[in-house]
Amino acid sequence: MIKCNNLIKRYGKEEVVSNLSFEVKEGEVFGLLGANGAGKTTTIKMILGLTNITKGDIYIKDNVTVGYSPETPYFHPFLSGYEVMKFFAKLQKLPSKSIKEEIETLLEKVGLGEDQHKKVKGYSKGMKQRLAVAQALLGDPELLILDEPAAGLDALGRIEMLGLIDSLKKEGKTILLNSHILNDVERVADRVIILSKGKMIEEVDVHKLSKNGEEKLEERFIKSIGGM
Amino acid sequence: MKKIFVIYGLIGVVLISSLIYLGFQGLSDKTEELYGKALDLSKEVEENLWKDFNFGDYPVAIRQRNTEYVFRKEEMRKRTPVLPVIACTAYPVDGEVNVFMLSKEELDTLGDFAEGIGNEEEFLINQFGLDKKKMIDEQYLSIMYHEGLHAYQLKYYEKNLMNIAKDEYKEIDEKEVLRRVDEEAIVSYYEKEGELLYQAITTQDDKESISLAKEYVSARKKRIQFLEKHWKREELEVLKEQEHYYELVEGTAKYMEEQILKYLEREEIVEKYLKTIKELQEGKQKYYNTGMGICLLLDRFNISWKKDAFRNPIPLNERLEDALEGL
Amino acid sequence: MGAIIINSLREKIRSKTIYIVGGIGVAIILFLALNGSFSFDDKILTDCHELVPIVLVMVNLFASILAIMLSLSTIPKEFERKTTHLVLVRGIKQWQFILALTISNIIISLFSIGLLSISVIIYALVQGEIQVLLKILGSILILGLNISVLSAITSWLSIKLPETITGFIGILIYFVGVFHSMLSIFVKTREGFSRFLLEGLMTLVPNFAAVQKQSGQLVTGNYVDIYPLVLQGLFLYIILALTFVTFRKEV
Repeated sequence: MIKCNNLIKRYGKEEVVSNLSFEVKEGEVFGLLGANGAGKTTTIKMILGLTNITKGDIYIKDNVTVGYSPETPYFHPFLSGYEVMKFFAKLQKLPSKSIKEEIETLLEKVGLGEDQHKKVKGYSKGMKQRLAVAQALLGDPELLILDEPAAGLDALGRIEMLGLIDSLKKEGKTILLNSHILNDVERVADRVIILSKGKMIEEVDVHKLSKNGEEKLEERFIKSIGGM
Repeated sequence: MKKIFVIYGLIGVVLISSLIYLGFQGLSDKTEELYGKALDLSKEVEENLWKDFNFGDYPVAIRQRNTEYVFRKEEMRKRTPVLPVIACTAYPVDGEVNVFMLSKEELDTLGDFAEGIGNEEEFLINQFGLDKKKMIDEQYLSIMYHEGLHAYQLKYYEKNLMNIAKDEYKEIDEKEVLRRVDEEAIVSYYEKEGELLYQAITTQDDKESISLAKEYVSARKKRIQFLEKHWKREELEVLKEQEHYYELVEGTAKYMEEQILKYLEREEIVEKYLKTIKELQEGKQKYYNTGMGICLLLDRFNISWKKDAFRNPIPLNERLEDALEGL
Repeated sequence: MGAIIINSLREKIRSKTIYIVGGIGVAIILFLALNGSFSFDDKILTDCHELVPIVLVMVNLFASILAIMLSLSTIPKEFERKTTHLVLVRGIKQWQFILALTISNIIISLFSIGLLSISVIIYALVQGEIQVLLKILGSILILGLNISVLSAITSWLSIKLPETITGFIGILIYFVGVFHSMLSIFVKTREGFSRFLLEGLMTLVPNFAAVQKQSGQLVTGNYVDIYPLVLQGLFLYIILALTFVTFRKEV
């Protein structure tokens, strides 16, 4: 679905992503792991075409539809959750007949069904995060790029979000997940790459890890980045 | 997407074509027609109003937006404006004195301020489009002749007229002198003079006119005597020079305007012109009006005054005094 | 693009700036006009036909300030909030997004001049000059051209420049444009390179004075020259075209 070859991104003299290569396969949940400043969000921005690539190539499957949920979403506070969704649906030129139904289903799916007509200014951080995921699902995209989707959610919210990601995976969606919460990634991801200072340290097959039961992703991560 | 760019491109084409069309529209038919009328009048004016002044002898550059349309009788050519300011005036271009005018439409927007636009006034006109009423065609013609007479003065008598202001007082600020004549004590003298001059012009009785004209000459002298007591000699000399210059140069031009309006039978405007003599205006403007008034009296008492007016450029009031002598 | 425009307008309609500055503007204009505070040629202007053009210029002044204030932060704010991300990933091009925001700035600026025009309408009604209302409407439409250009320039500058610099340049352009005719005369008195340079700069600034004058001409029932209006239209056209090709590197 996505193939990155020797990606490099520089801001001035500083190299924030160095020679990064990885492949996201169709139907899998692929995790980008790393501490703050590891280059995860920059990598996502390069994939989405939101920032220029200094060097390297990105291949994305032809005509694939993409949904994106940012780490810190901003929605106009004077709009209701429903209106936010309608705005993005219009931008996507979704057929107006089915817009209402689709929005309501998606908001229900992320747990905002009851609050859909409340203004965003009354939403908690977690509710905004869920709204971000909901708007990413508009138009039923094949590829989902979720940047810290569980950030700001309470324990129950996190469980629900992970459940949602699981169900999306079951629907056959390809998901690129960016998170620093290792347990979350371990629960839903098929494969992860660990990034540190813009470089890929290691690629981990999460299923193997779990099967062997030898070590947890957390231990592998700490080992990889050379901490403790 | 392509459609948007095509539509946008088409809008651009429409805008640019409109600009080109408007730019090439040239001078309005109205202005061209009025120049034609002014030209038709030139012979009659030379014969009946001012010998050896023929309006048709001078190229007339009429400005519309950023183009000047230069007319020489039946010929017309375009050029970029020569003067840095928008004004009606006369000025030499490549050794030849041109009459500078604005198109009728542009002059309409300037109203009464076309002649001698001061900075503040120009500012207000520019900012507010502030305007009185539209100018009638005959007024436009009269302004053409006003500037035409300036062209005549410049072409034949420039040196004589420039010599009126002597170099010896050049350290005195003329503008300051012209500002001071509007002080209360002096204004009352001017008001009296204005009233006498107006009465002398408008009375039908020749004897009364002579008597009023004499009173006017003596009232002028009284003002000078008053000023001699209160002003420095050099300042008074500068004031006399200014009066002399503006009455002779601008007063005659305003007289020409008035004569054209009279010739074209616009009596109601002529009446307004005459009233300006007693309705005192500020600064140098008052001399335009008194100069015109004296010219009208000279027409009555010395029919041949125009022949020497600029050749021997003595002050108009002195010429009037001479004419009244023995009457 | 329509959705972006509407969304941006909805946000601005809720902004207090427009109502505070607009309200103050209406109050000041009415106070000055109804108290005989305008004079011309040393005469206090009381005649409605003389005063309406001046009131219109005051409207233009306040509307210009509002146009600058309302236009300078729309685009940078959207980039700072990263709302751009959610828009651009949906296949909307950056120029479309910027153009939509610029158009919304223009619309809201026109709305603000409409709001300020209440003062002229009230004034004309107080003076019992109902027949002049239609002309006032035409004049406001003409002034709207100036406001649109100013808003478009401010929006375009804000793509790359910080808000304070954009605001400063916007105000500078407004004043140079309003005194365009007079400054052009001054420039013509210069010589050599400085004249060349100043003439070049003056060409880059729209002639607000010429358009303002035509609006006054219309309301006083005088000759309206279409040329400066079309020229201003072309200016707006060029500025909007510039938004197609001016990008932010990082979104």
